[in-house]
Amino acid sequence: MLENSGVLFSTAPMIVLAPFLVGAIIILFARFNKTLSMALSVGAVTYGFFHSLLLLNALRQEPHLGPWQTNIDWFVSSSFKLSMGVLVDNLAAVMLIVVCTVSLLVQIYTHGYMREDPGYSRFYAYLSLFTGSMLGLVVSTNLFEMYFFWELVGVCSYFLIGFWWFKPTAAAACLKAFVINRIGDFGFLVGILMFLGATSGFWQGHSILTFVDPQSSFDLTNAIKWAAEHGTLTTASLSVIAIIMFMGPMAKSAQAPLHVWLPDAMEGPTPISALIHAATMVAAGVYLVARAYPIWLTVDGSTQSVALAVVAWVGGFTAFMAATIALSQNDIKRALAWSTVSQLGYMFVGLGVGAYASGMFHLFNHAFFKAMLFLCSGAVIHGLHGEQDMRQMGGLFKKMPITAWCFLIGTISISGVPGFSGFFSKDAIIDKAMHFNIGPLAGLIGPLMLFTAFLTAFYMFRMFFMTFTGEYRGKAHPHESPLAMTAPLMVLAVPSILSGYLGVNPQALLGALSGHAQALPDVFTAFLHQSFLYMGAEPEFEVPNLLGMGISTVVAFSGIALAFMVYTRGLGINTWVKQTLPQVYQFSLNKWYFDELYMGVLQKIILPVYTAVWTLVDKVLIDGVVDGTSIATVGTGEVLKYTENGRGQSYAMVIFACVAGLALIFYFFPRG
Amino acid sequence: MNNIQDYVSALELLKPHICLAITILIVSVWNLFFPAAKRFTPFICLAGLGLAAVQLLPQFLIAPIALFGSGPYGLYTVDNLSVAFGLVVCGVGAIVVLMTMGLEHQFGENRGEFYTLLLIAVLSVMFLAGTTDLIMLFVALETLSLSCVLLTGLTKRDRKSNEASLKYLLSTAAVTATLLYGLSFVYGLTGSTNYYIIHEKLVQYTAIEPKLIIYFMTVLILSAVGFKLSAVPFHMWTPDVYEGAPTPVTAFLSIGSKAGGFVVAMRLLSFVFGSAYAEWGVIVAVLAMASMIVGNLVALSQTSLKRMLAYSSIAQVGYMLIGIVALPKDGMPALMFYIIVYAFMNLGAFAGAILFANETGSDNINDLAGLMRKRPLLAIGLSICLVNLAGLPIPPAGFLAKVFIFWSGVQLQSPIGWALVAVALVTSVPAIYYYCRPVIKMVVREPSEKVLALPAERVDQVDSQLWPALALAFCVIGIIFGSTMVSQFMEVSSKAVGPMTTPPKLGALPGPFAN
Repeated sequence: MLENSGVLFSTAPMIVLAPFLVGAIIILFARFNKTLSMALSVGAVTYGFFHSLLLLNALRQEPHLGPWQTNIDWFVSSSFKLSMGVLVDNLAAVMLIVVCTVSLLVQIYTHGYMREDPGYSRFYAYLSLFTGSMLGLVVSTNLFEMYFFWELVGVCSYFLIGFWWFKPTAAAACLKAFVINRIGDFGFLVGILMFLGATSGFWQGHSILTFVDPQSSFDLTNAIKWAAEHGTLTTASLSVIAIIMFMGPMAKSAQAPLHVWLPDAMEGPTPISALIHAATMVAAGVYLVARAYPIWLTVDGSTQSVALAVVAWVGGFTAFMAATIALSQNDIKRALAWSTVSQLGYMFVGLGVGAYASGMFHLFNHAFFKAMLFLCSGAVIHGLHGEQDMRQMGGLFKKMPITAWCFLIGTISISGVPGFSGFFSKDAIIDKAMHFNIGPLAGLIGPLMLFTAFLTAFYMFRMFFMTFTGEYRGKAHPHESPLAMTAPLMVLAVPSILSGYLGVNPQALLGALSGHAQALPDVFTAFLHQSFLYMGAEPEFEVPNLLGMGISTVVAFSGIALAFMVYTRGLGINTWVKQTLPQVYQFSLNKWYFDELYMGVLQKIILPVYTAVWTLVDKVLIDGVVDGTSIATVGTGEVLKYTENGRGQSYAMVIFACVAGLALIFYFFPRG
Repeated sequence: MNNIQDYVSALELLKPHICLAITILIVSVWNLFFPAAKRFTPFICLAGLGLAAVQLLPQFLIAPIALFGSGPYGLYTVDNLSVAFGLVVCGVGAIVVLMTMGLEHQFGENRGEFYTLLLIAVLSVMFLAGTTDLIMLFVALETLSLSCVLLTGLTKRDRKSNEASLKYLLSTAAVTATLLYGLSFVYGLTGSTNYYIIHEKLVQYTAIEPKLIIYFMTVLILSAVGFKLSAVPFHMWTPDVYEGAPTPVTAFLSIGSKAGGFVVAMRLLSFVFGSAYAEWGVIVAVLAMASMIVGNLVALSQTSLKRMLAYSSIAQVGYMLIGIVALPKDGMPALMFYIIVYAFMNLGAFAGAILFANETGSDNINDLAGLMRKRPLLAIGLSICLVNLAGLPIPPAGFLAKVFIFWSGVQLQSPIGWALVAVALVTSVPAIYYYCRPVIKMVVREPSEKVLALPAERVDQVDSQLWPALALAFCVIGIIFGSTMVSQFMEVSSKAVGPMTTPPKLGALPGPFAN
């Protein structure tokens, strides 16, 4: 059946182009016809889904086909060749499946959710453009191309956060997302340029910064090797580059301290939260680290690098912090957003401790159950006519059973109950984190992740109980959502339960249970490892750690039990904390005061310093010479001193003074 | 004397200039003789500029020829650089003409004068581009300056415009003095006004050891170049003039007259003073850094779109100057590419500002809020230009221009190069903020009162907005071409700045000093 694999691969660029094309068509021609817009948009991503599935199958049956790539020279000079292309390998294929599946289901769901919104067609256009950009990011062949798509998904994200522009909070959230992501992307770009600077001699005549290229071996791994041999790169300088570059993933994947934008981004419509801010775009940071993994390693390809330790710690800290914040949030979408931040932290811990397969596996599983959870929350909000406060919910199990069951499945999965997908990936990460050994406090990260797992189980079931059990506390008339909305939920419930089994070998598990522990390959890791061959010919498969699994299970169940006691049986721990330890409660409720800290720094330090410096410059150097008035009046409008006399003479004077001054300074200054 | 055929073939090289000169003559008297056909003036300008450009095109890639010879060298050289800049400035001129076409009421009776002066400025940049003699340089530079001064003050009834014009005139006078002083040093040292002779003499002279006089000379000349480029600290005139001048004039000043400054800098610094690189490299680097810092920080707090663009153009000059400092390492093609792309994005942004101001009478950034909902195409076009100015890769022309020029700085592998690139990268962060603020306002904010007051879009009716809109569309298309055909653009750029060191063949057109 694979005779056609040539065609299958050579048409792969269509997966990316189709949504772009559709997006443009909707904007230009079809925006007045709702059904047509929807059909085009869904059609493009359906095609992408099936094509990706075929690609995945082809790569699975004949591993030698990958990595496949095609490039167009975009800019060529003697020292520099920049390409745009499509790379299909195992890692990309997995991501393609994730993006296409979630995007497809979210687009179907959107039909039900946004049916009455005046921006229905525009929404589909944005969704298509976003899907195209995200797919482009996934199949990028080099770092530069990825940076372009990285910016493009960012732009789509801002548009979609601000989709309901008439909400002032949405506009503010959009600005915040923009500013924070700029900071991150700045680091990303600087990192790229620094890396390019260190390896520029290597790429002579070949596409620069290509991720993988086993044929010509002009790729990241060999570039680092070359640079290390030529002394332009050491493990230390590579780590510095990687850490600077990591600012990009930190912002995009909402890791502390650049995480503050993601919860606010929930101001966008819920399908967006599910697609962009839970399953795909926010995972781009994780994908980047996995894709360009050699940069985060040491120069000789070992995982014992400072950069990876930083990744692990940033992820670990974020996972813990976000979990503690999620404990006290009352807005259903924001609580889910904090849980996303926390789970992304887990993925980074996985990558950081060297368990790249586990990290990607968690990304894979998380995409499905978190998208489902968000879509469920959307169904709840839809059913309650826009109510998002969980204190105004409760008892919805009977009113919307499908939504409730799906939410329950997602909650069980994310909490790490054995048998559901989240358990396997999270347990694998925790297991590896326990063996983390770089840096003085390395031993802490495993227990921290375990404790975070407990918090996760607790806050997720808190959400479930507050929303679906007990008595209804609100005033609306809840109802189940239409089929267009519930069908995607039910479809997503399947991988939320089952996708975890791709990452374990049942025989190894059974063997361990019966006392014959042995390391056997699992489907997901074996497949994914084809993209990490520079790490060694075979991935390290581990003997299932029954003790670890047991502890994880106990931790998950104790979290669930505690939530059950508190939120259905009235055990008053929550009110006790609120009353006796108000500082702790406020600390969590106010999200560790990050927003206040940033605004404080901005308003109390940066702006006054900026104003003061410029007032000084204005007074000492420019006043009476240059019209610099606007500088000193930041925010208060401009005052033009057009009526003052004598400016002309001083202009001339300054020019003469500058000339004489410059000449003298440079004469006395030693030559460089 | 050569035979008549050689003479004619040499004269043919000047066809573009002659075309433009004839257009200038027609335009200047058109209103006088045909007052009823006033509205055709801009079309005549467009035709003249188009014709000049068409004549220029085949001159690209011919072997350099010097004209107006005196001795073995000429006053004016037709080479790739002069042709490339000629084309750039013709394009700029045409876009500026398009921009003015909704705005003619501003000039009242002075419509003819406006177009005459604009074309004179374009012609003088064309001459500047090919100048290989100090006398020619001075004459062309003065023509450019004076026509710009007049353009600035053209809206006679507007006090801001008058004052700006006066300030511009006074500071131009000061800079003329420093330039002449500098040129007199050059002449005194080398005994010639010709670039090639000066170059040879300076090679011998700088070989000895650095002298105060070299610094002084380069600084004096740099002050004039820096003034044209509005590089800090010679930028004081910029905000006032940009604010006071009619917006299309500001657009021209921000790229047309700057292109003139750059071509002078390229020829003088890279070739004539090439041997004194050690001296002027540091000075230009300092000007560049100062421009980036001051321009970006001041642009940050502007609330008027026009003023923001004015200050940011100071910062952009800082980035472009990196290309000149990085001259030994492919800085020049990067600079040329930047100039071409910058012309499109900056003119596009000005065209957007004009379109908005024509309808609402405002250029306040806050008034742009929600424009996406009333004028989606304008908002998208303006956004593309602004986002490219910010250096974001959507589409990537502006981003690539920045990357190439920063890359040339990195390639210097010297402390100066590192410092320049570091400053450039850091200062590009506020740049992204202030360029994107209007974009975010247009897209996600609730419409401002001015925007709400806009009538619904009429697609069936051709109005005065058509021409500036065409200018914007043209710029956006330029940006898209610049993003997709990077290789071709870069190839043209490298050809344009190709070796200037070999003296060109002398054409048969005798110069004023010919024996």
